[in-house]
Amino acid sequence: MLFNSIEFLIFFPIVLLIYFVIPQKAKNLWLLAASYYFYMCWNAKYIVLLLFSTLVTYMGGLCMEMVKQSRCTPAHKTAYKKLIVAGSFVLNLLLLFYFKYINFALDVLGRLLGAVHIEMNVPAFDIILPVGISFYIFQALSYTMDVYRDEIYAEKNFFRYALFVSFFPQLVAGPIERSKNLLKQFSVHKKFDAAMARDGLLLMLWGYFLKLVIADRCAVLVNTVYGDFAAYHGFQIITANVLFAFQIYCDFMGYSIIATGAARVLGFRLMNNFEQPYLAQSVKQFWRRWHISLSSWLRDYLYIPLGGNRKGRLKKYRNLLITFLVSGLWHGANITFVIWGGLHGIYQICEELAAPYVDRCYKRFQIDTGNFSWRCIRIVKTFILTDIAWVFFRADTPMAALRILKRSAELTNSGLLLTGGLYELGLDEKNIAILLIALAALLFSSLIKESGRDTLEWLRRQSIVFRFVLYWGAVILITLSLDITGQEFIYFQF
Amino acid sequence: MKKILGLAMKGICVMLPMILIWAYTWMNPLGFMTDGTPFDLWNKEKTNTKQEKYYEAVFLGDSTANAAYVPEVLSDASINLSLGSITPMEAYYILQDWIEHNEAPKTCYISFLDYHMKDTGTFWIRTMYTHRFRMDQNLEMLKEILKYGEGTSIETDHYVTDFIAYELRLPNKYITSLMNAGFNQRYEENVKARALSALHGGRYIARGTQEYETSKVIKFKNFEVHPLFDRYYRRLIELCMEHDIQVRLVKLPLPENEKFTENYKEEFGNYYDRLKEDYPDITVDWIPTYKQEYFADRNHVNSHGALRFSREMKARYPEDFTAELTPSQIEALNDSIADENQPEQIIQWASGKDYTLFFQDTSGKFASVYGELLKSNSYTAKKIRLEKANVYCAAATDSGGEREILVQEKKDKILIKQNDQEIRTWEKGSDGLLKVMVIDNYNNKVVCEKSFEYMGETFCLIQ
Repeated sequence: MLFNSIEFLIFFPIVLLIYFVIPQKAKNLWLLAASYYFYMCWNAKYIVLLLFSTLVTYMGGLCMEMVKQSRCTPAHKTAYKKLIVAGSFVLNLLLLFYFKYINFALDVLGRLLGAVHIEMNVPAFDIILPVGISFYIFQALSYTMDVYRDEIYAEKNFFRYALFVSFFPQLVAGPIERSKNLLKQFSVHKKFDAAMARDGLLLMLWGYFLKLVIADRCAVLVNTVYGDFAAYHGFQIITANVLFAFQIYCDFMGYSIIATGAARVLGFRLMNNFEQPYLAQSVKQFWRRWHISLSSWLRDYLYIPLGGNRKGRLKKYRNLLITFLVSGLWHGANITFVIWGGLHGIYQICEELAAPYVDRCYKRFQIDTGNFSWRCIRIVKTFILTDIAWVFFRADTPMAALRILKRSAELTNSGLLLTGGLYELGLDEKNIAILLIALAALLFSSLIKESGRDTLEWLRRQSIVFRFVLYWGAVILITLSLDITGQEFIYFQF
Repeated sequence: MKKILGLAMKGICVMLPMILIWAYTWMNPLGFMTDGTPFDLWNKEKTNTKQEKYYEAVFLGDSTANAAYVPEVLSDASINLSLGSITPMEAYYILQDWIEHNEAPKTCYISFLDYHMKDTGTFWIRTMYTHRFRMDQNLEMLKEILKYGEGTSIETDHYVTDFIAYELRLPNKYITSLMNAGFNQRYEENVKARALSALHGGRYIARGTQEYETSKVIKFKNFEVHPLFDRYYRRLIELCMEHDIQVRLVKLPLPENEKFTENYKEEFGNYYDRLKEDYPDITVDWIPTYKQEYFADRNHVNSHGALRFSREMKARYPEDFTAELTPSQIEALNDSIADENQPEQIIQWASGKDYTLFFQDTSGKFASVYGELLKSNSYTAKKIRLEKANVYCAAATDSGGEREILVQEKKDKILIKQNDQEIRTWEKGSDGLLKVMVIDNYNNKVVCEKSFEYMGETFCLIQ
């Protein structure tokens, strides 16, 4: 069930209404049933996978709790706990590997063997990638790790835990929640909170705006160009690349915000998944602002366990590269995602290696790096770097990505914006105008947030007339965008 | 509770623009909708209301049928209920609607292109879009599609949401039209189209004289009927049987460049033989191909083709059609004549009706080109010699033949008078032209005046 579908517009009010009407004891059970139904709308059979992952991690948590309370020696306790964590990880990652990576692995293996003239004739598995599998498995594994690290107690109530893994607003595309934040919220008595509901609904409106008005509109132009990139060059491809950056941002952030809003209406607070990533002044900063729930997961459960930055520079870079390669692989079973992740790793290593020299230059030329123009330059630089990486993310093959980059360098059509050539890329004048207005709104909201203010709070302080101008503007633009929707959220495939 | 209500009110206020747009799509479909909407709505209105007069013949089918059957030529007691893009499925409900509100006709002509017996993609974007049918009918169609529609393009995974969206007229299904049309920008155009459809007894497709040109030969190798449409074809026949309606299945003519292989003919024959075995009372006609000039495109006859086809059907089944002409039929005829671009077509449209045709010929070719045609269409023609031109007065009926016609030359004008009608003045044509004036004697009015130039072996309209 997509957030931008009629099913969800029917499903959500029903869930909401019943949730606040039924007794406290039944609330979690109702949400669990609704969440499982939400997932089953996509493919009923694959609910077994969700249940399996939930059971394994739930049992793992309980076992660890039993070990903690047993009379074993601390060394034994640690060994048993490690064994349980390993078991939980292996089972879950095997599941993920089989459903997401087996064909990719076979393909890579086939190519490698082919290189040494060994033929491997294993037919590809006919598997449908279960929606959201990477999200809920990572969420479940974070729980296992948190129990292992004694950061939380194991949850004894299976239904509550199952709800934590399957909570429908964030089940299929995150944010990948942490047990420390979400699980405990299911123990708190919930009653209707009008202020939270209002904020949640406003967040949902903003999420729909990002998805329908910006992301889906960008998608039209991006799909046109990427669908036949050999026919385009220069600024046409550059425009498509820039718009893809906004497409994926607004698509994913739109989903996260709708999820956050839906959870807020129900009385839950989900973690923030984005912090104006395109206002980042370095790639390192970008990753502190982009898909925060995944990047922090990888930091806490991969980068730090690998040694982080504690074991020397070389190992730090190795860990960084591994983390970003895994991040790329998490996004999809394709070499293009791995390259995308790898590029981000390399960017950060380069940034760090170059930092002392750059600082020396600043000092020598007495450049005030804190001033506005210099900040803008760094923002643009970071955007260009991430946008180059997005080409690999969006292209079907690495070769295609390289050809797209090559064609984008053929800058012979600089008059594109003046001659109306832009309107030949799938979006007419009217739609380009709507897109520009929407992007201006996005920039405006990003600047408010960047200044440290809460957007909802800022909105509340405005006059009712101004607020309604904004609301109605958003609603009108959403309505006018309904004809170009129907696109799935990009992050569903991960 | 107060807080919930307050929030709900605020929510409604925020969503007001969308609600208003939604309300507009309900209230003023003609203001923005396209794609046959006015015709579908006319059809809906007509079939869902009790008509003042009795219709003996009903024509059902897709756009090709809509283009081919001309009620003003066939009979005033006939109506063309065909709609563009529909299949036997929709046709069944159109007839159902008609029978529910009107006395069953004596005859039902059913014609579909092969394409619409095999597949269609227009259930969602046409049938549902225009709200031609009631919700219970749509639901029944959907049920049948899910049961029998496998392999057709109307079978979709999103049928529940699409169904809800169309039934509730949600903006996601209408916003494109609304954006393209703007508020109320299509209203006048749609109202005009609906009126024209009403004038011509439901016929609205390819009502023009454009001609199809191609040298490409198209071969039909197979004749297939999808189970879904076979089911509805049979239901349609059974519905007719139940109400003692004579069913005439007519395969409409196609352009000459479209050929049928032996295999096609065999499969076609087998299918219709089976139908005839199951329903012995039906008649099946396969009208052979026409020249390309009778077509507006590869499937639809133009006005000339429609006139030819309708006259042929009338000659083939005279018992199905009354000869009596009514004022509304004459209105429609006048409109068709006024649209014409060939003198021979004008002669054929007016044939057998009380019209007088005046031909002012300065080319000297009229008699050789149209003399035979006038005779074969039972016109009584009279030649009046003027100084520079010949005026031929052709009366299309016997009663016209008895009419006293006076033609006088006065300087650069010609004066015409019929019996006690007023004197009409007619500009003299320049050399080499053929001028035509058509007088509708029922209403005593000039239908049109046109000038033609002799080019090669025929006369062409001067724009």
